[in-house]
Amino acid sequence: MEAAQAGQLVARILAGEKAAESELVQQYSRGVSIILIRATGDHSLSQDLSQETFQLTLEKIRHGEVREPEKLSGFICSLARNLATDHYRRSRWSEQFADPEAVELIAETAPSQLDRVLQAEKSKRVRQLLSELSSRDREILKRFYIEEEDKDQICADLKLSSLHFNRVLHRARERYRELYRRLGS
Amino acid sequence: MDHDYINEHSVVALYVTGKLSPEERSGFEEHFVDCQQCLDQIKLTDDLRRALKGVAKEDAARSYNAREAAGAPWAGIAVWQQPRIVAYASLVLAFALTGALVAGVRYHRSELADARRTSDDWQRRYADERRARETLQEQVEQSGKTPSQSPDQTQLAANLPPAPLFFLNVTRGGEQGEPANRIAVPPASPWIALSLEFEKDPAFRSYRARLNDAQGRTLWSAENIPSPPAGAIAITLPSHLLSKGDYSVVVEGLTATGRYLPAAHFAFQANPTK
Repeated sequence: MEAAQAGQLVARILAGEKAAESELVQQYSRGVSIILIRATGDHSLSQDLSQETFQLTLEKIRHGEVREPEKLSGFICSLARNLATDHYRRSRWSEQFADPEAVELIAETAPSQLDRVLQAEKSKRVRQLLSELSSRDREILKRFYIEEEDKDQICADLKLSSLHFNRVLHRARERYRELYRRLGS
Repeated sequence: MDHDYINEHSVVALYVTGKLSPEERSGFEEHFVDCQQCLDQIKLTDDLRRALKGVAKEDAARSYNAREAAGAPWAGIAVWQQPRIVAYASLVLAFALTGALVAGVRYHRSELADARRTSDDWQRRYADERRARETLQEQVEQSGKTPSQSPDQTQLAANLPPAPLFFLNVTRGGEQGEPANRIAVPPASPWIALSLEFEKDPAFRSYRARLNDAQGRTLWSAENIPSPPAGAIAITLPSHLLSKGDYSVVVEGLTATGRYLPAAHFAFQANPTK
């Protein structure tokens, strides 16, 4: 969203336009969700914190506390990250695991039959992708995504430029997108 | 941060694997929070990464089961390793045939004795790797996180093939001379697992670990290692990183303010076995 558009959205919310509030949530909810999942590692918690983020954002806009409307994106990101940090500051790790039942609440439920079928299809698509790659490109994907090695280390070991490395990742991702679309269709 | 910078520096891939610096991560998050193009790329890259790890896990399980059932070390090897295994097998076969022509009956008797020793050695290694796998799985279950929830060491450990496990003691600050910890790296195992036991600080949300060589260069690192309620942290490393020499593993804890502080240090000497 451009800075001017963000400013207009804030102005519309200040004017009491409910549609503008829905528009804000719709525009930012996906991004806020990703930020909070990265920060917390917990889908359920990230959903709660996401709701709290938008609740607080709208309150602050309505009270005129968003002083730089054109920087709305930065404001929402900071608010989401601060809420995640505050959550961990308030709840200690040992207290979280003192009650055995708390572990069960955090654990993910077992995959359903549909999940297993979809996972099997995804595996099939990835194996097809891997079979289309050269052994060096497979090595790059393996070392970066599975073994989580540093990009610089991989490039040094395999004598690759950064540009070549980017291209390998980009090609693999785009080919995966194409195979994934066939799965979806 | 614009799309040219993002593409040039593989920012999406680095974000998904948790390798951006805190400043770059903040900058990228402020960009993508309302950028549908970047949000799509993040989702796709994360899906691809998870699918690749799923395939690696399937191959590891298949390889373990095949070796156990057939007793052959090369059965069910993953798609990643097949060209290398074929090359090694070809080299071994070439040497065996050449030796048989030159040495005659005496060579064949010697070869039979070697094969029996090798067979006994493999059986011992299978038992060691199975025990190590069971220990790692117990530690993963105790950590309380599942592979699909966070891109972290727990997920990596759950997806890896069986690996020999070594227990390291903390190195105290004043220790001099050769490291007390020594590990013998078996050549046939692509991975080794290190169990790092140290006193945990409840203020740390998670940990990161770095493997450094004797010159202080970082050879491998991992972030988002969950802190188990009790016991040790387990990390799994590709064994090709460890040639003969001195190494150290540095463990740092992540505070609630997002800073990393030293937590423990483990010095060890690696000796690859033949």
